[in-house]
Amino acid sequence: MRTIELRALLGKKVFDSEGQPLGHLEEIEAERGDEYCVVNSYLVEHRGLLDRISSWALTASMREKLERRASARPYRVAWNQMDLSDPDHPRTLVPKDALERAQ
Amino acid sequence: MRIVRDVLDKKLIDAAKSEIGRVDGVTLEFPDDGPPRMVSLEMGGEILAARVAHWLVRPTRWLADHFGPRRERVLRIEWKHVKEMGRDLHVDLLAGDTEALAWEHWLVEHFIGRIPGGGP
Amino acid sequence: MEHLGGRRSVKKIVQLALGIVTGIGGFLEIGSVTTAAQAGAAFGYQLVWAILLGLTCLGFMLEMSGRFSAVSKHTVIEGLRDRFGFGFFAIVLAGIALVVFLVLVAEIGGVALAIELGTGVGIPWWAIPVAFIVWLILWKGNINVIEDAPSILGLLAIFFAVGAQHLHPDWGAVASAAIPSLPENDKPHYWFLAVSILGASISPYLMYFYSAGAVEDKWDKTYLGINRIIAGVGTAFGGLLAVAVLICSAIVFHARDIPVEHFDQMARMMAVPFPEWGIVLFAFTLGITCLGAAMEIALAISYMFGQGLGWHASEEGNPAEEARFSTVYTVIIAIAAIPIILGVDPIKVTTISMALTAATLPLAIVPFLILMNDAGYVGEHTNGPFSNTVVVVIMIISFILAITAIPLQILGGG
Repeated sequence: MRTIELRALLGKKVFDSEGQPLGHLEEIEAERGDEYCVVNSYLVEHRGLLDRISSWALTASMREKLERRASARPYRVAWNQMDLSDPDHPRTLVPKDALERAQ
Repeated sequence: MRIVRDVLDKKLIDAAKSEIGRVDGVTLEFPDDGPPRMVSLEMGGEILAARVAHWLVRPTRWLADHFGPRRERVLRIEWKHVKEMGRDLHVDLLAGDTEALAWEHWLVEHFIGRIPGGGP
Repeated sequence: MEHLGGRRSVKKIVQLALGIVTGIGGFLEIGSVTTAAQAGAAFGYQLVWAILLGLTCLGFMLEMSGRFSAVSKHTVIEGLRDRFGFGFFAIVLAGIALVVFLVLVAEIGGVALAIELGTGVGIPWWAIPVAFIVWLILWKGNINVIEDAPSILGLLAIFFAVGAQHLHPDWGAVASAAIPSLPENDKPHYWFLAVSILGASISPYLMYFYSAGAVEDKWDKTYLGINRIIAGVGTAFGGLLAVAVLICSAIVFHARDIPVEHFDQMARMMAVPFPEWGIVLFAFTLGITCLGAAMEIALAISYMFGQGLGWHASEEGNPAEEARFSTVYTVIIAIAAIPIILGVDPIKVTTISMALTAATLPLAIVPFLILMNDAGYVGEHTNGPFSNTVVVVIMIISFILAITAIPLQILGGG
């Protein structure tokens, strides 16, 4: 069993199974438990500089009010779709078209 | 829940309602089969240094090895101690039972305590 | 229940009064006095608009930080780390702490200057005693003593207003200077002074200190009204006192075409309306207000570290209970005294630190505004479009002026 510290993963560039860039690993969704929290999925966001700045500036509530371009929504990569054997170079096990988009 | 939004950088409050510190990092365990899990929270200057810039880690380690209290580089608090989640995270430990206050005690002993009025 | 309510009301009234007084004292210190005096001497009433612009922005920012703390029960610094994560927070901390540290050097120098005015003994000799007194009050005192005592004494600054009145200014000309105008000559110096005034008024450390105070005083939503009054009235009074300094300087120096180069000259401007004790009052008022500012800054820096890193950070307990917190302010006060001991001119440090403050305002204001618009922290009390607009506009003005005026000033050698 391996352990990886979150800081080793956060912000890393993620590619899909065909080598296409998806974005950066920005968030982890988990189920809260008593002994530990089970990871469900990783959120990979493809954002240009402006998007990054505006996501700082836009809060969740403001984001809801504005229409988001579909292409700007983060990829939701299920835990079993992510290959973290090399934490510096995360890859998904499926092509990006097979990935879900988060809100 | 989302780890970066709801856990990372949050303040840790102990059972006596005083501050332990902040969640500087989180440990993820990857079992051979089954989903990964977040098992513990981490605190430490080295972790913070790594989050700012990787080249800061070595000098931070060197400073920690040569100055200040002797303690583990990374403090880990297991997730099972987290009892409440909100703006802050509440744990069922006491700050004094962890090494979180190592610097506090060291400074009282070597610096603050040596100034008149600085004794406990 | 009524009895309890009555006591709470009295407590609130007292806090309101003290808060306003603190606001006045907080505004006036070496930065605002020096920049106002220099502005008056060089350009007469022309730069009144800069003081008014600065105090407007500060008033809004203080109200916001009070509102943030009362609703979220956290300080602005805690909100910054919480919301933006450590990486970004570290950048903000480093940038602001560095600039604010320079202001601390200036304030310690300001107290030393004031004592030199009164005694004739050179500034470097006073650096250590002054630093020691600043440190001692923080070491032994609590946040209420630190906030209140210098502020109450600093009310003496009202004598600037009385002095201005005695000099019979052309109030019409003063009022029309509330609207910005272009200088006839020496434009780089004019804009540099405008930048310095803005930097002297809009000091981020005031925001962090105010927010920390609100949390330590356990403010809640019932304090929102008081908060608005304290922020608004305190800042307004303080700003108007700075205008009074400008008026005195304008009448005494500009009208007679005397450039103000040295601090004892500034002191002498109060000897015109008050021949017998003007200089002494000037020195005393400056010394007290700088002392108060030095304490606030040292605490603000300690709060930035303590709150950002999750220490127990409070002025209530004794130093051993907050060793890391006490260590920070002890160390920075000691280091801040060094330039003054070495003979660095406090006025020069003041001018530079004010300009740098204006240049780094976006670092403090932008993340703060994001917090103020985040319902997750302030619930239904988010900023309205008016507050946002006022602060953003003033911040942009300050920033643009800073990045243009500072190089010009360096080139022009003003």
